[in-house]
Amino acid sequence: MKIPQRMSDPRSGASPEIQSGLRSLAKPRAMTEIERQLTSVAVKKIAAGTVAGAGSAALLKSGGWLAGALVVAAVATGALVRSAGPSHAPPTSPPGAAILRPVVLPTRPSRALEAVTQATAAPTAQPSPLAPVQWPAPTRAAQPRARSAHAALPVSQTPVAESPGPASAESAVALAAPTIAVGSATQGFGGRATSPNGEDPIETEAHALGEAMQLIARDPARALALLAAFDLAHPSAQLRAEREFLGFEALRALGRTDDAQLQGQRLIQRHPSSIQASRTRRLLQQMTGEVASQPSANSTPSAPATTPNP
Amino acid sequence: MKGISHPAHSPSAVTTLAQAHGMPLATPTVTDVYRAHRDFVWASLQRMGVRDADLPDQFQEVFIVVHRRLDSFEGRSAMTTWLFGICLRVAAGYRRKGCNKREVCISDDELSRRESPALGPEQRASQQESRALAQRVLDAMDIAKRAVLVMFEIEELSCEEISRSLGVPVGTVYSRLHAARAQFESLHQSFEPRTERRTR
Repeated sequence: MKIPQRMSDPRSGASPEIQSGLRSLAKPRAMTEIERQLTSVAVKKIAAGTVAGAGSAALLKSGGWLAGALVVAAVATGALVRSAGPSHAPPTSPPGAAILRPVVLPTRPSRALEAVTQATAAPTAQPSPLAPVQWPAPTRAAQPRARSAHAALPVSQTPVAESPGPASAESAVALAAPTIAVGSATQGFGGRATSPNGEDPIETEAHALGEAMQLIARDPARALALLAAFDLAHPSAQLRAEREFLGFEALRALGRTDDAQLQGQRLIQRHPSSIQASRTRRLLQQMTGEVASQPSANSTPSAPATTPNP
Repeated sequence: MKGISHPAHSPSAVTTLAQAHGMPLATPTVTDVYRAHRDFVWASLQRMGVRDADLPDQFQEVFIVVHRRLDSFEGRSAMTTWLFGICLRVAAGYRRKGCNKREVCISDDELSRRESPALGPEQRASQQESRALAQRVLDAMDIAKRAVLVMFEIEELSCEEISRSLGVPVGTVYSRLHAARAQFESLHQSFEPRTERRTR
């Protein structure tokens, strides 16, 4: 049997347009590491019977926030991860837009909560909004580390562990982390309550970020503590830029403008080319503009008191 | 499973898989199938025209079907043949829903990767037109034929490699490839004049 010649080969007799067209088409790409982890988690849930729907749209819808976090991570790390957005949604936007468009975290906490609530909404029963989360055992909990999120940690607002152990604020926060109550972000793929105490670090991290994102709206101090605790427990976690951005947002929500600016500047220094850095720059400019536009107490003593920037 | 044969002489994928994982002879779980064949499924869906943005979703669709039907897999064909059939059905559903008819966004990086930097503006424009036309033709092709064509023409796999990958005889690959190339050329000819008229 004669071995066929490839059409892209000039000797094949195919027209130059066909040759050129075939040569310019991209080969299928391999799975990235993040996609591997994400699909691994999804298949484990399929195997566990968590996903029983007709399609994975429900799976991905319920895990929308996780997909968003992973997209942010992928873009930040330069990986070409395609968004896991619901494919069966009406084609109101091109599919690539989901890839190229940054995941926009609303600037106001209330909108952030709405966005996350919508993303995690599922027809199944919701877990208790204050269900405690079993965190993985901190690997380096007792080692104080100079990190961005916990540098500005509201220690006084953090539940203190019973252990008489370390006196440092960071260690106390790390030990207190398992007692942090979180919201409905404990709901994982498939709309069933899951513990982030899984084997996949990316899943655990995405859970933590989703929880922190929700907490920013109603309890930014706790969100900050959660981020700091996770930062200590998982020093080699991957979604670092997103985590630092959430810390920045939590500080803004707390009205700690100076700390937020410091955090924002650190984020920009560490991840200058990330989406989070560009968003942070924009928000910092807004904050600076708001501060500049605020009338000085000395110059206008009759001006009404301004509220801190959320 | 249109166009896919299940040769009775194929080695039992169940046996192979079980041995590969050091397990006793038993039906593999969906996790086993995922570990052994995730890259095949991932690439197959792309060969069948699933866009990058929809890949994770369609990939999971495949494994949901695998999970449901794994008990019915008797090992009379290769596991990849069975998976290829599932991919075909999932990709066909995807195409029916019009998911792939949406505008395709390609990042700047991807574009620059595909284009030769040595090309001038006119050549580059010409290459873009050729690519767009080839992509349209592929999108209009029968999915099974498209997959074989992509494997041979774009991925430059040999017929033997395709045969091993799909778990079908080499002769079947040749015949499918012949049909795929005929369809590609026919569609290309039918699309080309319209493209030329539009560009004039």
